[in-house]
Amino acid sequence: MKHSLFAGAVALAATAFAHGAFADTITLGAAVSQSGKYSTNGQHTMNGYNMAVEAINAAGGIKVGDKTYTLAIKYYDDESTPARGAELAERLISQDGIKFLLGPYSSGLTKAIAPVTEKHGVPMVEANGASRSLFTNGYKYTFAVLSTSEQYLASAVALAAEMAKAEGRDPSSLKVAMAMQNDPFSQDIRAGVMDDATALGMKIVIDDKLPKDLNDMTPTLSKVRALKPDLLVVSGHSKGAATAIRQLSEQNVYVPMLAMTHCDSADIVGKFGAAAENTLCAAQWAPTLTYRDDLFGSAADFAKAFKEKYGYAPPYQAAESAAAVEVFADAFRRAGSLDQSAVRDALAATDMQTFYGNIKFDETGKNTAKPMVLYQVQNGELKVVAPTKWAEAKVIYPRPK
Amino acid sequence: MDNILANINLLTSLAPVLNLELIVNGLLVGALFALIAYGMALVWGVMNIINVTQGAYVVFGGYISFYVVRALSGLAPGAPPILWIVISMPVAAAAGAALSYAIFRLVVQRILERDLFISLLATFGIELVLQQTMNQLFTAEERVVDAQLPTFAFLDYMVNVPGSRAFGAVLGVVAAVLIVLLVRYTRFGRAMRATAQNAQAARIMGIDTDRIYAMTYALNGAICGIAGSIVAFVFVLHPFQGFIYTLRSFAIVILAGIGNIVGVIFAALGLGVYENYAGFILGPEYQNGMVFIIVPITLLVRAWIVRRHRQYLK
Repeated sequence: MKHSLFAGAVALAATAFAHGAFADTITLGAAVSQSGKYSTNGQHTMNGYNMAVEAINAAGGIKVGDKTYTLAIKYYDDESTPARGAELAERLISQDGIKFLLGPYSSGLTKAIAPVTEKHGVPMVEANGASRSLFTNGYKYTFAVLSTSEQYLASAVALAAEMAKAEGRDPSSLKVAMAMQNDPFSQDIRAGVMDDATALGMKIVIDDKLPKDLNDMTPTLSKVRALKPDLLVVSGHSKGAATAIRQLSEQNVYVPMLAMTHCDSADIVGKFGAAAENTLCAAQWAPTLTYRDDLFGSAADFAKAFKEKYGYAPPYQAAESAAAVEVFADAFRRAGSLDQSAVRDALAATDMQTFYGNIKFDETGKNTAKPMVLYQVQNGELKVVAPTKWAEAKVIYPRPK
Repeated sequence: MDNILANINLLTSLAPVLNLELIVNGLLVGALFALIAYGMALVWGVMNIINVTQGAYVVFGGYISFYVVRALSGLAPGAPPILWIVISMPVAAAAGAALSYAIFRLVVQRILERDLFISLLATFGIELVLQQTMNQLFTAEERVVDAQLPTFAFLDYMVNVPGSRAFGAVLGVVAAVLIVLLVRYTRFGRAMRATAQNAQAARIMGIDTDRIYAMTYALNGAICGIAGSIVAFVFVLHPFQGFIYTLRSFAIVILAGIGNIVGVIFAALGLGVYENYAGFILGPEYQNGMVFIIVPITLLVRAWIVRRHRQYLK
């Protein structure tokens, strides 16, 4: 009896070993908003990270050199405050001995954390800081998998020009109105729209900055009514999107083309139904794109698995977060060691396709291999209408009155 | 600067009819601000507490209304949502009153006789806790109630009055009138006014001032609850949205002068119009700043008037 128990224990230990229970763990650190104004998107970010970590571990972990590691993440709550984010990054690195960081949610938080990781030489792969000002400081350890913010709505300007040409109008006759929140991210989007619109000779007729605690944008909409722009571009996170849709319809303001960010995270279709029809929405990713990788399969496969696990369709914030973990795993494999500068160099040399899109960093650390997509709300559904390569539906222009 | 001149030009020569729209919209949101500011003035006047928690109570009331409307319209789909909104109002008012009563017993009653700074600090702290609790309970997702009311257009679509705003303003006025009647003509209202005038004397006359304070604070919670249910179908709900309402009601009460009830209503309507103009001419990013600048200006003007008055007495 005693003997067999002993044998059993040995057998158990052996199988446990074979399954990697004793394998080493690479712990990534992340300060993500679990409270405060970004907590919804912070949750999407964490769900994306966790999804990828579990998939990688389930697939046997990561082989680095001749050892196999599993992944884990140590989280802190940055309370949606940049100062707190920087403090926690410092704590993850100096106190908890974390050697690799995943990014927080939002450009503001990423901006606060990047100088800390840079100082300590800690590689950070971030998925939710799109402000272009993140990539002008010469950071060597920050890598972003997403398209930067000045590209967000530039495609809407191109689309408006294309539509004008099809109508036999000169694009330079178009009038553009902008209502962009007064934060780094939205102001980058504004700069991108501005550059493209002025390059095409379009006239900017309204250039309003929405306050962070936006409540009422009717004064801006009154201007829109009077000046009749051909394209109205709005960026103000989820609240801006919801406020714009509500007040455009309530105030009877008509524009032939309306483009904005955060339509999906604001769920404008669910909230406002018909009032959201024909709105164009910028997105980093869509489940209908044809990208794929070995871990998750296609973009649609990821969306399906995510929905099964978390009970809601993945917004792009979750998809790009999962991709950030994949990028880390790939770099660990190629670096063949867990030395921080070796991993950093491997990250810089990343050239891969994920379910989320192609990823290749330029020397500033931003991903230049993946374009933005533009959705349009058509009969209550978000359909990709641009770029033409992935278009599921033809754009409806002008929006019916 | 060019921008500002262009905007002024738009109002004066290109489309003067827009002035009408700015004024009408300003008055409609002003009616809502009046209701919220009225509650703040009440607490300030009776209890000498500047209730920074005001905005959080408004948002809380909005969420209660949102959930009530959602639950009811799930039970009987097809009925006009406006019916559910009206039903949700007393529920939001009751919830607001209950929450503020609990907070009064927990915190506010301990700071009643303390200086103004303590009351600011305490109510600010409560606001932070409430915001975060709402964030956890209701999530940070924006919530709206869709009243499905038409928009009324006048003058060839140049002046538009959303039905929801008009309805909200009417409800706000009705609620304000009811509260004024309550304060003027009921025993409770009389006791409240007596306490505001001189708490010590009121106590000697047999008024349970502690109870009056609790009731006043709860009444303010109910007012905020009603205002919140209006916010839910006029604007957008978010756990951290309350600051906007706190800021505006503070500016309104300062502008009206403490204890000046009729003044609150006019100040609120005026502020609504003023901020619409500020947003139109200077740009929306200055809207909040232009509201707050009213506070120091009012105080400076008051100080100046008082000083002149004193010199006259000499």
